[in-house]
Amino acid sequence: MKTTYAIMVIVAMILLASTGALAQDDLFGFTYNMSLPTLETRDFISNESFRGATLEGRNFVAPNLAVGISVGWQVFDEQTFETMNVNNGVFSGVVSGKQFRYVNSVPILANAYFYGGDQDGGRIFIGTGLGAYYVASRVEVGRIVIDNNNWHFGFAPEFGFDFPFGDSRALISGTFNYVFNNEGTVNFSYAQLNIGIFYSIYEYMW
Amino acid sequence: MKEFKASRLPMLVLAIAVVAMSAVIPSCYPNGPESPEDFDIIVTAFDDDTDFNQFNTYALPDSVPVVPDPENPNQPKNQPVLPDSIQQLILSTIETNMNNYGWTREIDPNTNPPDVTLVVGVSENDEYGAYVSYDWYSYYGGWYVGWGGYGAGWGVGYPWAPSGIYYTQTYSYTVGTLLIEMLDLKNPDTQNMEVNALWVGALNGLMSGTNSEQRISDGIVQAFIQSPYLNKNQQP
Repeated sequence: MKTTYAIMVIVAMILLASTGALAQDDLFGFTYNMSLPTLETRDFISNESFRGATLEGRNFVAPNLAVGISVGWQVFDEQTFETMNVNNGVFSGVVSGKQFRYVNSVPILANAYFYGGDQDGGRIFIGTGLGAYYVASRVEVGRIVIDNNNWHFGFAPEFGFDFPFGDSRALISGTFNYVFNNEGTVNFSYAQLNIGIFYSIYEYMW
Repeated sequence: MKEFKASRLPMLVLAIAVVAMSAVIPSCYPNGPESPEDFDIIVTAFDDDTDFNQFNTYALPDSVPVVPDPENPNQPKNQPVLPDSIQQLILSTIETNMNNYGWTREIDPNTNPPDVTLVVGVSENDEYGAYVSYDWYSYYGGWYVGWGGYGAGWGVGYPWAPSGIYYTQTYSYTVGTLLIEMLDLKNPDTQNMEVNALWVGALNGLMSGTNSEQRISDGIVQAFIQSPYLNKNQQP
């Protein structure tokens, strides 16, 4: 119930913000993401990931409020020797061997952020993303490949700051991607450190 | 309209970042298998309706034949590809593990029929499933045929394998699979002329790559470790 309430508040916030007439700027940016598996993801892969990137656009609909969308990609991998039970209706038995485990997470989120500070200087921001995560997990052992690909609902609270960097803005932030489980899968959550650079479309194009 | 601004530093940073990311995320599945050893797997399966307490003695062959490709019937039978030292390593490792699990080997199975027999072979075929429907035991020559009363015309049944498509649609084994099967000699299916397989161990990939002897030995040990129901010392 609390989750539903929070979602309604966020959606209302985005809709209200989108109707504002104070649009200043359109920012688009690129962040490099380093991630740490958390919660149930950590049971599947415990290695940190240095393979991640996000493309994002943010539009200031009020002096201190931005909304936008983002698309990311994070790749986790791990090697481990495991003994696993397999019972898939065709085969029932035990398989041992070196396992190559992977998780590819592609979050497609709508975001909203509150900013504090002067636009010409450093600013802090706090916000959240809300949307869909396409999560492709794979286990390879020997010549056996077990894929599990699903869409998940999730949200991503984020806290960070940005500051002027030439004619652009540099960004450092932390995100926690909470990805709900789906049809018996684990929740595939992970914490993320983002380092990026954002550009003003308005400043550059006109 | 404002003049287009060409700030060099941020664009350079972005360009470097894009190039770096293209190197950092080369694929969805990085750091995958690189050597034949990475493909080694040990598969075991058993009939979970079986009470292994009813079996105590076993027979073991004295050689490990090569099972030819059934699609290539002209291939000569009993063509050995394994050195004697490897064959003896396989058989002695199996014997040690069976004995450690409380089983007793029957040295003269023709005189004293054992409760189960172990058949051991090395496949040359990509598809293990082929052996389910193929009389590969005949490749033991005189060891299996005519032994224990189950001679020509008898086959091996897998009543616990779901839908009769066991393995065939699940796994594809490359050349070099060591197969170990435990056959029930106490409860033959005389109507269908079959002795049923109670336990199957398949060690895939161990015959290629380097350090094969250690990998074979470790693989056989692992097959028994992951089959605790065979351990008569721990059964209630």
